[in-house]
Amino acid sequence: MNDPTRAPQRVQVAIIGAGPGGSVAATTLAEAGHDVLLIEAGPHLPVDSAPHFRRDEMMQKYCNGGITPSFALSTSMAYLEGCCVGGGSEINRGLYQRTPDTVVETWRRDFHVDGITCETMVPHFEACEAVARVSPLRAPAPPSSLRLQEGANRLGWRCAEVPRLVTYDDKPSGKKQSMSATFLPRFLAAGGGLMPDTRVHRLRRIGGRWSISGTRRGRTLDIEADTIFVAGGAIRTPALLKRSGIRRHVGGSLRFHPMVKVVAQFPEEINLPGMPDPVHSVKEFEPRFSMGCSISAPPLLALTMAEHPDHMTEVDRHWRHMALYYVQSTGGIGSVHNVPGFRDPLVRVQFSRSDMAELAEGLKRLCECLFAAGAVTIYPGISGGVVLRTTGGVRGLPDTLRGNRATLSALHLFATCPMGERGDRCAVDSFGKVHGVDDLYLADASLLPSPTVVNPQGSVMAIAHRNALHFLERAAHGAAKPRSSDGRTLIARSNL
Amino acid sequence: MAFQATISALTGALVRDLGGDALPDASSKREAVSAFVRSQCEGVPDYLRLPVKIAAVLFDYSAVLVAGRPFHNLPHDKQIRHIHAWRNSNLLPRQTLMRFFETLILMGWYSERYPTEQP
Repeated sequence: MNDPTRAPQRVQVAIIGAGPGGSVAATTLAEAGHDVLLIEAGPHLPVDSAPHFRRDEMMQKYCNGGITPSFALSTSMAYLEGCCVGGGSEINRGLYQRTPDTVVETWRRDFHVDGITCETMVPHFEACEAVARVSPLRAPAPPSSLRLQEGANRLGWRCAEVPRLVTYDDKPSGKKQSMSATFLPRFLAAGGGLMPDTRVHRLRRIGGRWSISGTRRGRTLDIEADTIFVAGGAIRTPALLKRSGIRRHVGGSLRFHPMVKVVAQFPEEINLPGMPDPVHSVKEFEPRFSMGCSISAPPLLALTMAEHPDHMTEVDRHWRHMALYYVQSTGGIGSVHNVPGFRDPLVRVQFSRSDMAELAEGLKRLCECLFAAGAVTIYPGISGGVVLRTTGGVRGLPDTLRGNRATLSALHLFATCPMGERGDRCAVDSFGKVHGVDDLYLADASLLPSPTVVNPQGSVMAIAHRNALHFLERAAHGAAKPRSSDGRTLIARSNL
Repeated sequence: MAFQATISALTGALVRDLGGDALPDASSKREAVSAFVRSQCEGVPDYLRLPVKIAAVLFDYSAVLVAGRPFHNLPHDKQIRHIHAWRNSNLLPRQTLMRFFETLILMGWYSERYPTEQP
């Protein structure tokens, strides 16, 4: 079953997409004894196959080589998705936070998600954290991260170190706990089958079973499955469902965390090779917006400095004194569309005036914090070439980013197929089953009903675990709705 | 061929503007960046692949109207002037195209320039 070159013709469960949601669901089901095939469009590569956040990793592991634009009438936004076994967990920084209580409450109240409370989610977080270990830094945080904390402290703002899906047993910079290093080895050990480099084009329901048609390394293939879990992410999942004729509340409610970056320059060296990744996050203004420090390798500094072409040589001269910081909000909405005759989905986004005003306020606050931390120059990632050298200059930043052509990007995408029992807005039920369609489930960020405010990987994994256990219980009861959604009871019956 | 020539010329012009020609092994680094940009253009969403190539060639030949020769045959100073004209254009598609290529070239160039500095 582990031979990736052999395409099984029939399986009990096929899971399409090997990111955090798909990997957790696949492992949970395989360890419960199900015959599971995990299908992934991208390659199966070691987590360290290329230097992180660099050109070669983009080419190997990002969807469309990292060039995934969205379209808008005014402000557009680039987004990034992983396209490899392990998905986003292979390319992100592994910052890990549980879903905030207020977000879980929103899902329960506004989307009528059954049986979801902060308490019932705890065992699912714990189960995932036991496999993909979450650790605080053991060594001091890098100077770029500490500067953000110092700035927040001086302003009296709440700031926290965010733990990461990284272990620090072997080396100070840590070992990443991506899906390929944690859940997937367990999945394979449980007899699961992994099929990378396989693109699924369409799902069809034939004779009470699912038929999956796709291509693998240029050859067409067809797989039959009793049950399918789609976990291709918030963009690819709705695109596949729509291509398969499933459209009810699918693809029209995209949400994300739009982000604006700045480059801050300090008098002393803060960007030192070999240091751990930055971990601090300013929480003072959540859930409206949050701030953090990014990976600040010279190529990434240069991308933000593209808005300041007259100062580009500063990167060569001072990159060790520079670091990238960001502010991200939860504003904006979008939709996912298929383009007839083409494979890749088209994403449209739009921002209201208040969305852009919120981001502009966040940008000002971020600059204020960095000046409080001792920054001497700040290059905001907005066009117009505004360079800030004093706190007073922050007042000159625009009150809204609309029309200023901010360079927005998003790493976190959600909610294209929201879960819940509300018939007027939800695509899947409270446990991920597509409404009105037999034996079809979702297991990725597409079903999270709204932005998570924090990094979403913990939410995606825990919800996938919760829903996979519910599927097992549902299967054990012959498709009858289980009486209990108590995570601890369900976990006690499974291996995870 | 026209697309390839445009990308090579655009890469050469921007890298030279960044002071890249003064570095040892500049020529092979520049060619690596050019190959990266071409490869990324092949990887864009499939509905954009042909439009991106057509737009690049249009950019190349638009220089004939203002400078009498295609962009890839212009001297460096006129190439930079043409890039600035598109970057600062009031027409959003021209700005967007320049921003797209500049982003790729910067990513490629700084990855070549700083291959090991991984904070």
